[in-house]
Amino acid sequence: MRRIRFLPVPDPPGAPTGQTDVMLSISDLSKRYGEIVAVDSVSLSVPRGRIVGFVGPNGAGKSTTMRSIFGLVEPDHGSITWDGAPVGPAALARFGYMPEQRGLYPKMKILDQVAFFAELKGVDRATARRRAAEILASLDLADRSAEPLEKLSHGNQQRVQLAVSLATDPELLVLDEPFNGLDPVAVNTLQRALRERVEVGAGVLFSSHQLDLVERVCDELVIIVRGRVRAAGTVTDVRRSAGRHHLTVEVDRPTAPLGDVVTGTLVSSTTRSVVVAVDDDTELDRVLAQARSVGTVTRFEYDLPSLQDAFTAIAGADLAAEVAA
Amino acid sequence: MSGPTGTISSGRAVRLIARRELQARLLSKAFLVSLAVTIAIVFGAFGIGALIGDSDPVRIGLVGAQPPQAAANVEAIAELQDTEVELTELDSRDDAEAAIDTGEIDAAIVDGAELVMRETDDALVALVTPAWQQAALVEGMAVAGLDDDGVEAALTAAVPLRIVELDADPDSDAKEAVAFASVILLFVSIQIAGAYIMMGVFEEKSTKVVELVLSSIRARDLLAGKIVGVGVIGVVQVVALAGSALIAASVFGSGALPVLSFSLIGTAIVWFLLGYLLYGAIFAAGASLAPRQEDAQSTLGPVSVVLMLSYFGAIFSASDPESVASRIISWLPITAPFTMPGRMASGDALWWEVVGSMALTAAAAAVVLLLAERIYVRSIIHTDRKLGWREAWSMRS
Repeated sequence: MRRIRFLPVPDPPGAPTGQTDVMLSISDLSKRYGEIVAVDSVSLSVPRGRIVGFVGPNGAGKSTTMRSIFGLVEPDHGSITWDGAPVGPAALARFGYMPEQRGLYPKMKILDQVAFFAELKGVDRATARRRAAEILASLDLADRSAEPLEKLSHGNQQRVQLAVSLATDPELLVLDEPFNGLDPVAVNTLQRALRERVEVGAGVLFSSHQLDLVERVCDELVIIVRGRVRAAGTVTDVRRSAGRHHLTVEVDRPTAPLGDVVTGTLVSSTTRSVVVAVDDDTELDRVLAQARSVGTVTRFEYDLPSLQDAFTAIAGADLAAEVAA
Repeated sequence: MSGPTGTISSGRAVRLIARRELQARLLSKAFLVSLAVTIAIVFGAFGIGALIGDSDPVRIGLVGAQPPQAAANVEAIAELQDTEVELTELDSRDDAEAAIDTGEIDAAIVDGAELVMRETDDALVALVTPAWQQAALVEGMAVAGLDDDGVEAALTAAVPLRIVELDADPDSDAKEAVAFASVILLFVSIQIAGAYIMMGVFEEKSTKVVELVLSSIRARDLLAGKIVGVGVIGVVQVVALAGSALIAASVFGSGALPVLSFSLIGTAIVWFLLGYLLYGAIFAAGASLAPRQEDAQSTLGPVSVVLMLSYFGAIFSASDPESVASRIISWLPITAPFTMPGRMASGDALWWEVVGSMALTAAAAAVVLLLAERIYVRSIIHTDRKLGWREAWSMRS
């Protein structure tokens, strides 16, 4: 695997914290396969102690970007750095990875397997086995550790895959669609495991096409559509970037159409409720008074667009349907 | 924050991969069972050989009066022919015929005049007739008036023709057998090891585990570790088979023993390694192109054809190691690893031929390894589709 060229590039968008806290930095990454542009000038960063969600429809370029971090894809252009230096063997030893294409040795015992992958990261044998046993215990797999992987259920195999990525106490965790195929209990376990990692200062980059999960789990997110980063930042940043605030008004048995009294750009409406996008200088007191004039107001909510609405605004309705909750 | 991680060197990566390969195969039931079965077959072959070699004694029944020297003569002739003879006295011709019927005896001699048997057995006739003829002759000489000294003088003068062998080789049968066995052993060992390489590469690619492995170490180190690990297994197999042949030969007192030797086994290991590197490299590259079993068969098809042709070449060479064609085949790197050992065992190969063809095969293996590495490194990570040899070759890594 050749090293990735290091090019001096401006600070990537979506790097809200100071450069000193940024551990992984991807700058201006591009990759095309023949006529297809898989990744187009993607820049993103993963700061210390933060969980970054990487969101986009299938085929948006998430996996290509993540595989580039490990040299599994050689980009046509761009740089990937770790603490300011190009990613090399020393950095790779500090990373944990869960590929989108899950796969382990089917006939290898799971303790041996987790320890083996830790040793491939340069951990000595004794430590690797001890850490493997600890991590399997924490994932409720201690009593299965002498069994070959193929004897385990699909869900438990997923846990072993997670154990492999966590066993070296990585400083950067890169998880490609880690929530795919997990039951709600496992989702909570994984969420807790990720939180534990960032609490000790690691960075996490995970991809997903499920907006509700991303909103719940991540500190920051990067939205990628057709190979390009379209928005990045905290969830609030992204919701704000979608445009004006949304005003939701609900009236019990209104005496006149709500659309006549609540003015703004209509987002959605029913007979007793309406959602409109409004400008920042809208006088909310006046709108509330007008709403009261047609009935009892049961709900009056002024907020940023939901992440789903924001995503629709960013990606367009067609692609947004693919990432619907 | 710092985890328990360090950087991993190429050497360590290769060792780790090799160790995993060893553990996965060497400790697997399938491997141990197949090794035990093969060793059992080797012992069985030598055991059966020993049984066939120990032919039953020739049992002859004697009825009525016989010339006085006949019994001593037949035993002397039997010893010369390296067989044993068992003589039994019977009361009557009827008893003798009954004993032949039940198989208790092979033949009976009645009154020193008739040789009775179920059907003519040339070997038995050749054993018995001269003994009785000579005994009758001695009796006749005594009747004719010769005294004992005269009879003895006449007998001493009647020595059999002295046999002179031009180009004698007492072990020629054994050499032919060992040469044949060497060819089979090396061919099979190389093919099995090549299959392990192919299965290993293929397993990693089809289960996609290679993605995780290559996120930590380089593809070149993965390939090197696999070749080292499977190579160790292959050497274990060759040593086990050749060693058990040596032990079995000495246990059963086989005629092959003088031909089998530690140096023969030593060179067999070198030949195994050369052939294994050559074929293993090709198999690894082929398997790396295919994400599924069916694809593996189509990409490796041409390789298998070459392997089968070389196999028939080897059999041909083992049966006639001194022909011109055999000499040519034993110099081709693709066939040398099985055919030259056959020529060596049959005693036909000159030392410079062995050294020369080893050097040639080693050079070929080195070149093929380099080419195979290029293909493997470029194609192994593409788990999503089948690649052609040419496409993988021209791909960017």
